[in-house]
Amino acid sequence: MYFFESELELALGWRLFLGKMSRVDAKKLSLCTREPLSQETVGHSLAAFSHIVRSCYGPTGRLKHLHNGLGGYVRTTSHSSALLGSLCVAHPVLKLLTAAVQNHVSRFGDGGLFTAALCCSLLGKLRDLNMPSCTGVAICRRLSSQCVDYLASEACGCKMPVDFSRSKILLDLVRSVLTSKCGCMLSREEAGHVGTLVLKAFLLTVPQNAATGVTGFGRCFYVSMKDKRVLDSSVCSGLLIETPEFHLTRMLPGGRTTSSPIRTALFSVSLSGDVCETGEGAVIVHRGVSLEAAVLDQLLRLGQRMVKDGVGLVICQKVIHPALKQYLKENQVVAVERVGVAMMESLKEMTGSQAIASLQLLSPAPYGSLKDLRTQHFAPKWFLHLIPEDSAICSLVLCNRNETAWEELKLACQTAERVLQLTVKDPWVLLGGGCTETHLSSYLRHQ
Amino acid sequence: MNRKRHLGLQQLSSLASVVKTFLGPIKSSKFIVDKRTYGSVLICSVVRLLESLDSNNTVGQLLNDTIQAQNKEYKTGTTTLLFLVSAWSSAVLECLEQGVPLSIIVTLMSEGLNSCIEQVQCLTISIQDVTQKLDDIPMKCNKKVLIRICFGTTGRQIIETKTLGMSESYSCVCPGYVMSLCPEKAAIAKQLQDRPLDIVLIAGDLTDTYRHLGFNRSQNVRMVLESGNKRIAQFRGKMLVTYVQGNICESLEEKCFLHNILIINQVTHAVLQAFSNITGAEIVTYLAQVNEHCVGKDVYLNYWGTGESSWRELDSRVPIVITAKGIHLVTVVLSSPILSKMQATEDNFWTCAYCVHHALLDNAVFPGSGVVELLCLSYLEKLGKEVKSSTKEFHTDNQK
Repeated sequence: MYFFESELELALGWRLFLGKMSRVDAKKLSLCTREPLSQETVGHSLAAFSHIVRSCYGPTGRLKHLHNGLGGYVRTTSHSSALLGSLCVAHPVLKLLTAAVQNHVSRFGDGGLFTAALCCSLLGKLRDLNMPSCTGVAICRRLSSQCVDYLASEACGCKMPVDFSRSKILLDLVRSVLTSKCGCMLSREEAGHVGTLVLKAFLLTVPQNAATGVTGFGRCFYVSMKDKRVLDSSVCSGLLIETPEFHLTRMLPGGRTTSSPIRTALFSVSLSGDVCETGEGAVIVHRGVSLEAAVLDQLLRLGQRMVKDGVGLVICQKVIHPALKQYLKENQVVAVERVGVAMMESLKEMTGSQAIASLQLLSPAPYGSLKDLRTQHFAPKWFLHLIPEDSAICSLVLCNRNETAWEELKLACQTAERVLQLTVKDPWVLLGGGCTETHLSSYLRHQ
Repeated sequence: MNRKRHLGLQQLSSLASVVKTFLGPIKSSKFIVDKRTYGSVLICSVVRLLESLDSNNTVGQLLNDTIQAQNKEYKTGTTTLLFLVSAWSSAVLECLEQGVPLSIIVTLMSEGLNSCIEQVQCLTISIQDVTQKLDDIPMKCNKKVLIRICFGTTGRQIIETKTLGMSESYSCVCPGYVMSLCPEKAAIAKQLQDRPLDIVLIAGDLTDTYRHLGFNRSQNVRMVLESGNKRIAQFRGKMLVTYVQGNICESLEEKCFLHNILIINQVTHAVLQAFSNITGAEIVTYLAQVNEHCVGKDVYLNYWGTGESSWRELDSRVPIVITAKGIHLVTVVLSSPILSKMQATEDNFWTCAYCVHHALLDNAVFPGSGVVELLCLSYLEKLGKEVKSSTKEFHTDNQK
């Protein structure tokens, strides 16, 4: 029922807009425009925007190329989030419209094109009917509340309950999202395969123990494998961190023999040996004192402490100094650097530890633990596979033919994930193929 | 039909006549001339053609992406792909003119492609049969000796060296790492010949100011670190070869001459890795990190092409080869008297090498001379005739 809620938002927005100003220019005085919707330019802009959005929608939807007229990167897409993010919109009415649709997409993850098309068509109809704006707003409000009430009621004829003990309806739901975007270039078999993976990934992000106080879903990380066969995609629990092959040879000597958990240390501070920001003034260093050597010394002592404490894996958000890496490697400690800030939250959750933000370790140090550490090879890339004791993190290795198709497929998978999450909250699906829309319109006509 | 709507398809179909000249046994290379600078480039492949042409339209960009993806993954078949794209665009335009809906065109074309792929499986020849008939089968590359050697180098890494000014008969394949030394270093190399040497592998520069990637220099702190000169002295007396990925500072180079240590720089990481794998030496970033785990043993150095008195190179550099027993590294030396042909020779070599690689991976090859193409054509014609003579309606999801 999400798209009707946002229509309500739009109706409220109109009220504000229609009664008050248009935009304020930096140098000019404020301009007050009465009845901005009646302007000719609005009609043209709305018609063009409506055409763009409608031609991307549905089973006959087609792709759009977005590019700068002077050349440069071409984005090929039919996703509303990509389209609206890249279009330069000048007219204030259109700006408000695109902002509302983008807000809808960021909240619900799906239905952007439908919302945009519906809003354009409503605006167009109201312009043609030439009635006072407040009447138009009141009509829209009444219509949307009728629809929402009907859809929420027991007697609604176009919705079906979702039974989570059977996978068929969930798979169909995911497949309908994936095949709605032609830019993914999926064959039937490929859509089925990726659909199954997305569902598996979603199930892996459902937290096992509700008792631990974790209330949200976990996260699914997408590993990009462009220029590969779609059927080679796969999903696994835990986190995959890409590493160059030469770091992995001899790093994990013949696989681990013990089954005890691995102690981990997670660093958010840079271990690259550089001196921290000195600010505005100059730093005077006495002869015979080397700042770099002093910091390196501190790093090596940190390494010694970790080896003594039995740490098996060191993860750093930023760079690790080569001498420290070498020391850790010689002492059978796996070191992973440059994981980036995006993964840090999930790493904290997986290892159950805070990130260490200084070179001085407290006692006892805030180490975490992992169940297992392995290497994975998805040609031609190599990955370190971090397997947690119990966590709702998974990695989806997504393969597609080329960059364009991969970007579209990733967006489609993220949409499908969001749709599944929302279905858990509200376990109903609406009939597709235009049935719901036709049913609702006939219901409204009979009211 | 609105001509304007299918501008992209029209542009693609116009490429066919250009690409056709790159196909088949009789090829014609092209020169691309820059109107502003009047510089020109010799083009023998479709990948280089697309790279050199300015393309500020969307179709050009998409085409370039597709060809680059094929090139990156398979390194072969790019010309065929471009020709097919162009030919199919003309076919699609024809169908659209006759009013066939786009979705039907797409479905039928993919079905046709899939069933052709099934049909041609019967034409494959296994690799065992090929090795015997090597001289009978027409091949793209005229370096058959190269192919024989490639058969024996599965699992090994191949790198290249290019030499200019020599005739093509000097091209060959050699295990180990081949490169050329300046005369001063050649003098050191002479003393290191024919005996087991130690090796140290450094990824980075051997200069005072070099720092590893990710190190942020503070703007207002000037550092003077102890120079590598002292460190290098620890290797005095050993027979040592050092590979450095980047540059070396002059004072260090002089010290190396003094201590009879051969330093070779601008070595790619792949070569460092190959030597690291076979000798067990760890690759380091700074000279200060070198300890007993970082020195590899049993590396050998020799002059390359000894006895070839007519060998000469620009600015009197001497070619040597450094190798270790069982190393998975092979250097291919490509020589050509013409500079503009160098790129084309290199591209041809890699295309050939990848063809062989894929053939070994699949354990099969197709015969050439258009056999595969003719089979597909006759099969599709037969299908077309069957449909015309059939009295039933043709359903789009009929599996043929």
